[in-house]
Amino acid sequence: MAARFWPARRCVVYNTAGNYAQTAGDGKNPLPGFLFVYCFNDLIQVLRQTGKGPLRVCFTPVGDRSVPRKEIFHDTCELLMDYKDVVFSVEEIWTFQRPSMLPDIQQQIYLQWRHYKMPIMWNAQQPQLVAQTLRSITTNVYVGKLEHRLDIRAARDCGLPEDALAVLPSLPHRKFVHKYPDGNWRIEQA
Amino acid sequence: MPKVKRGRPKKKTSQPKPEGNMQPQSQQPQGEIIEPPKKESTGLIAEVKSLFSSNKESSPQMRILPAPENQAADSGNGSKTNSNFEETASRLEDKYAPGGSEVPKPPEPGPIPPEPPKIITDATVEKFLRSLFNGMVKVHGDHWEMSDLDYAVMTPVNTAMINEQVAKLEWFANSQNKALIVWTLVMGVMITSRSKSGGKLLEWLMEKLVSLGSRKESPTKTESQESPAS
Repeated sequence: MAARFWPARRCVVYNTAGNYAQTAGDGKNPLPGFLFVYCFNDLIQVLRQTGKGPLRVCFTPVGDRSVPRKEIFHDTCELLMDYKDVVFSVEEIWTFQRPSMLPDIQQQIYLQWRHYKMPIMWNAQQPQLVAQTLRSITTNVYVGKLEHRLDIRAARDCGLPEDALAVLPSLPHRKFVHKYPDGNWRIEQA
Repeated sequence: MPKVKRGRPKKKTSQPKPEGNMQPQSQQPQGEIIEPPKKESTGLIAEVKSLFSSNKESSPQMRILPAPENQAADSGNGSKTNSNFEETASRLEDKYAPGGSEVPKPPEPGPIPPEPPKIITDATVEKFLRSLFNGMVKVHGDHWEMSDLDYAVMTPVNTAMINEQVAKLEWFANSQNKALIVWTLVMGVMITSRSKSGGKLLEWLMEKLVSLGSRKESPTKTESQESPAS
């Protein structure tokens, strides 16, 4: 996913599972040039100081233990909706939703992201756990190797045609099926 | 025979009549173009015309409504961030501040839950246990004999169990035959423990209970599971 949000001028990464780090190591993906913050108030300060300028922040929500993690995520959504003009990249997005239920504020930003100039990027190890609404409205889809039938069914919800679904279980490492908004697809290298 | 033309007859060309002009043509001077009088457009026509009018001032429908505050904030107004962001940020800052107003407080200890009603006392349970095991000793042997220490351990445990479980039995609490139920249970246990078959039944139950744990640890093949040929 980092390769996709990298060109963005203003980007906030929600580092849910801690897969991103400033430098490579411990199996983490490096994000050089990103500012890493761990508390919600630090995120506010960074956004405030940056204003309308270029922004690259990776927010790892581990510093506010007294607030439930879903609440932190929803507060971040609310903050960025008012901040505007920013790419919001969420790692393991299924943590904050259910396959059949999308909280109101998430529904608002996923469906009305153009109001807030706020494109959303998301990833999930298990697509079957992602909310069905989000799956169905996602335009550009990258799907790696999937073997579980429920995950493949979830990929179908993302708009992948049958011939693309057929190659998912046998995809090589670091190769993805990229489905374009017009429905066409091809295999790409990560 | 004259040739008859089929189809529609040709229209006679006539002077175009100006619409709405009620004056006879003879009163108009020759060569002057008669223009239709300008009608005062009213109602819906006027509204539609005003939509396509080039003069913006004359079309009140086309005026641009002011954008909401949160949408107009993108236009540079000197400040780094918009007012909506500042409002949300300051509210959330308070929330996430150490010791903030919305930090959940640990729940205050509520009223202590009432103890379950004492259905039976320790003394009664001890008497019952002594009577039970003495009967077992007489019928089945000295290995059923319990020491005072055993009773000291068993009595409070049994009392707590009876007080806890019987209080949960709604059918027992609502029953009008409590005494009969208790009498049946007590007498049944007493008589069973003093009879050989009853004792054997209790011992069988105990063996089953004991072997249940050991069987889970090491499953062994039983005779019923062996093939008839072996």
